Amino acid sequence: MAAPESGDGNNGAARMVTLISSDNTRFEVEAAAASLSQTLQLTILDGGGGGGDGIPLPNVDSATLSKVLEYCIKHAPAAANGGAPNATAVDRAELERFDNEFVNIDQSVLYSLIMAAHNLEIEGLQSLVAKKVADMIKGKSPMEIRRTLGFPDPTPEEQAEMNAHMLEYGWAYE
Amino acid sequence: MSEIDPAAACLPVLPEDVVTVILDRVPDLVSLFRCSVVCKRWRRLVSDPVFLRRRWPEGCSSLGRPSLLGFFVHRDRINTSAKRKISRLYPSLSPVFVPVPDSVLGPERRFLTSFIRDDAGILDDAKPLVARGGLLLVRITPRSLDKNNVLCLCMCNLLTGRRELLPPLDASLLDDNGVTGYSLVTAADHDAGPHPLADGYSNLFQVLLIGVARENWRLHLYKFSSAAGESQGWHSYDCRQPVSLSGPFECRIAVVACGTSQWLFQGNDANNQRLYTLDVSINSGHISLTFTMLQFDELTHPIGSFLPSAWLCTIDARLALLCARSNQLEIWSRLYHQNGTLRWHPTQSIRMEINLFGEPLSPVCFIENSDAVLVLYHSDPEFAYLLDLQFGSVTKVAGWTRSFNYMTAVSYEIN
Repeated sequence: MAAPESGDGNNGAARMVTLISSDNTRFEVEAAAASLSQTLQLTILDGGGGGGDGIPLPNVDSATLSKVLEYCIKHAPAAANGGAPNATAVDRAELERFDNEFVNIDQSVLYSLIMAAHNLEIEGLQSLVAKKVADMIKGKSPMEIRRTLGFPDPTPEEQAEMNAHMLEYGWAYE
Repeated sequence: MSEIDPAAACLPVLPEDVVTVILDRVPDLVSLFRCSVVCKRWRRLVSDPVFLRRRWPEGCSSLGRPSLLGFFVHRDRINTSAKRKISRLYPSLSPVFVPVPDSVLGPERRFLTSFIRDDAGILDDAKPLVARGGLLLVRITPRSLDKNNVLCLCMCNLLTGRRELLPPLDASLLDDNGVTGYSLVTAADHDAGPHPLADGYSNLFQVLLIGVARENWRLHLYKFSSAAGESQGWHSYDCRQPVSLSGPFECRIAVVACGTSQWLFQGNDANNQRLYTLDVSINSGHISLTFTMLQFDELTHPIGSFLPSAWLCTIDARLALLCARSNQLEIWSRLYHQNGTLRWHPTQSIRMEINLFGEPLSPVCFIENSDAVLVLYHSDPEFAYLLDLQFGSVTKVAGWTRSFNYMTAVSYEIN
């Protein structure tokens, strides 16, 4: 499987771990990157995932996992610096540009990503995707929110409730 | 933004934890306000006091913090032959209401009949079983004493003051312990409606009862729903558990999250160290049962010989285990283990400031929305304490006495 290049060129000394997606694809990745996941971090600290045995992730498919790892690899160096107090403005701008680009993806992928980030407890990623979805919600009417996010058509009762709400709280819809 | 593929995963099916993370980031009040009418589930999530408190910590008092008012509890007869008298201290035979300190209802002792009109005395000697969302389920004493196996239950709406009797349940199928677990699923736990009600009921609810069948020692579930459309009356299910189980373990009241009721059971294996959850979820009349063995690390197993107690609960809307060990309460959460399984690990420990002769404290009643638990020391039954799981603070509950049957204590919370 495509192994990511070791980020800091540390003579290959960086410890690698193997993650196995639900469809049995193996991903080899630096322990530092995988450790962005709180759940994986415990396992990795315990010495898991090295050598021949990988860490199975039964809830994450390979397409999602590769996207998750793209994020982790990019963010690992900054995370290793403890939130990067000494990162340069250029570095920070670069990460921000990456993040914006990263979530510019299909909605279904966003949902798989946020589920994966939730299960793996990758706070930065979860927050990034949640922010993206929240921005899609911002400024829309309840009906528009439903349409944007792929809710089924409202039942007559739900429709009536929305209408009543708009009537009663007109100020929220100006 | 690309077009939505209707077949793809969509936001409505994401778990509530995740939706909450998104709602947490909706930037402005107006947008959030609009979110609250998108669907019933979102309404519940947005109006959840825990959510509001997190979004506006400074304004929590004005936004209506969930408020624990107190506990309903049955008062024991001093001895079984003595007929209880109506006294000045206890002018009603119905369950006692013990307010918590700072209860908005004030410090005075009340009775269930202060909330529910009951001229016929139906609630005399009633035993509180489970309360949720402003509803309180009690067991009432059948009029004829020869029907010992018949369970007469009454649903009390503490806000409207109405009470509604459930059809009597003949539970003679169960062993001598009868019903050992209860769950109350209220309107807020149901998916978005409409849910028309059956005749004679003004509240949407489902009651689940669990016990062990006398004949085959298997768990047996009874279900009643006030929704119209299902044939009225009790439905009965053989749980067909894969292993021999006893319980519910420690706590008879199920944890209800996202419409699913969960109880904890102990496996009857050699050392009784295995714990299982039973999840019961009911959707549009279809019932599904799942047994899951809890995975622990050998070294930190919570119910070794020194840790007799483990309670299932929700903290900040996540499933957790409460384990009492001498004067501390440990909170256990589920984390992924390296082999991909979810394992339970201790994540927090709260030390009680009081400790009686090293006796472990006993959780009596978990208070869902307040992240608190009512605890007792059995050697000092005159007092009960309220333990706040967020701050670890302990408050004595005035007005508690040893004549209360702590097994029947249920909390009353409002939003």
